[in-house]
Amino acid sequence: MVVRVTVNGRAEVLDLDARTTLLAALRDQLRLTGTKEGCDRGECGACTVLLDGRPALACLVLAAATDGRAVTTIEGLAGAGGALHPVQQAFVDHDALQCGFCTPGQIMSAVACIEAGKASTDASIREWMSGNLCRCAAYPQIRAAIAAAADRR
Amino acid sequence: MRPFEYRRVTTAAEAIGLASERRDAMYLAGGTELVNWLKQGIVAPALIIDVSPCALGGIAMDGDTLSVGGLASLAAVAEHPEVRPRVPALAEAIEQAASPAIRSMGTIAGNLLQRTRCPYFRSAGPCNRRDPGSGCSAGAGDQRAAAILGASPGCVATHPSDLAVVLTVLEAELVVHGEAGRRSLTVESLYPAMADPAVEHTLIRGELITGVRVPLGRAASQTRFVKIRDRASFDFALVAAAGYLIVEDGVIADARLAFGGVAARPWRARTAEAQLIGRRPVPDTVAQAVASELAGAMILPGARFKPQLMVRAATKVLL
Repeated sequence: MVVRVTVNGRAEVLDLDARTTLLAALRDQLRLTGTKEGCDRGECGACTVLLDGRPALACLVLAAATDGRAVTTIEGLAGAGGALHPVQQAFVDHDALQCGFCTPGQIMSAVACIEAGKASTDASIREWMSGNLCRCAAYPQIRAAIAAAADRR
Repeated sequence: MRPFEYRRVTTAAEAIGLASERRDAMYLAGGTELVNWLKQGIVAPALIIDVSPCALGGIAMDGDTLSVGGLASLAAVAEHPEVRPRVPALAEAIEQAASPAIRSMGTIAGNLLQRTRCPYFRSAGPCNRRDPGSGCSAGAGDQRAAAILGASPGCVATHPSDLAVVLTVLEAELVVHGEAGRRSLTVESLYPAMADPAVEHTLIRGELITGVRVPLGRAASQTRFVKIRDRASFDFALVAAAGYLIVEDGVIADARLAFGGVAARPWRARTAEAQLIGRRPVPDTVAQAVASELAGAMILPGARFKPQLMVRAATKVLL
């Protein structure tokens, strides 16, 4: 089936099997491998993207259901000339990762957290980010990066 | 995932028409449940009817009723400027459900129609709810999540919706559309009265929950909600409670109380409610009322902590 979806501002036309998840379409068809496959069952947050501006788990979305919608992935955050998004920069500044596998999902959730106005307290950041697991346990640095990025905004 | 045909619809009528022609169809909304079940082969419909493009996401205060479209996202309901001031327990229950991404994706109707499950539902071992007749792994396994009220011999799974517990106390009504037209039912009656692993809900094939109507009375403003779980966030309830008391002249004049995490359905504690009336609003009263609710409880060894947790949760929401 044919799906027309906007990904990182670009109109894409995908020809895919109805069973394809958004995660598989992004990684395997569009070669946007920044979005990671962790648990593939909605529990780890590694595949978090923005769907019409709201956080969504790409592993639980059928690509077919994104027809006419807009997806933003980690690749779509950087500005002109590859300038890092303020949240990406804050993650670098605060050393908010170790292995980096969960980082794209963490950053997408963090962008949504700040956008939703939920980055004002440590407790609120903690709750908002609770769907994004980090097995290296960089949680304190992740929270610090989000708080700093929210402050700069 | 087994192959399926995928159809998008833009109206409830179109959805119902398709579903009534096809016995092997399932509706898809937020996808946070169904996509997992498809991947694991727990369900294998031949037709998926994606209702998410339907305009059923409205949220409005309509006189003395809060009307929420069945496809309103959990996040949209919790964030609505009039929901928190007028029905605080609803916003609180939603905010403690799942993670922000899942709350953005998941819909009100879908939340109520989550599968009753325990940790074994998705495991490889026997599970009467996933695979009727295969047996129950919880009987000799991890029983921390087990139901203690109204469980059937073959299944001790609990219903996971916090929202359903609050809507039960609020005596909210569901509007459903089906082949036979429109009807309404209480949230309580969405769930089978007797636990049966083969029956998830009381909807008729093809029916679609198009809306939820919450009465904006005293219950809406006074009901409190508490959820107790192993993790501080992103976890199902071990025990959840919603309820309120009306106290007149030092005694309880009216009470409503419901629990989550203890049964295959949101459990309206009518025995406890009756026990509360006419008594003083003190911890002993609540403990005795909850004990009376538990008179017929069947408690597996691994769930023996739940009665005490129910007393504490009830005390928190009522006193």
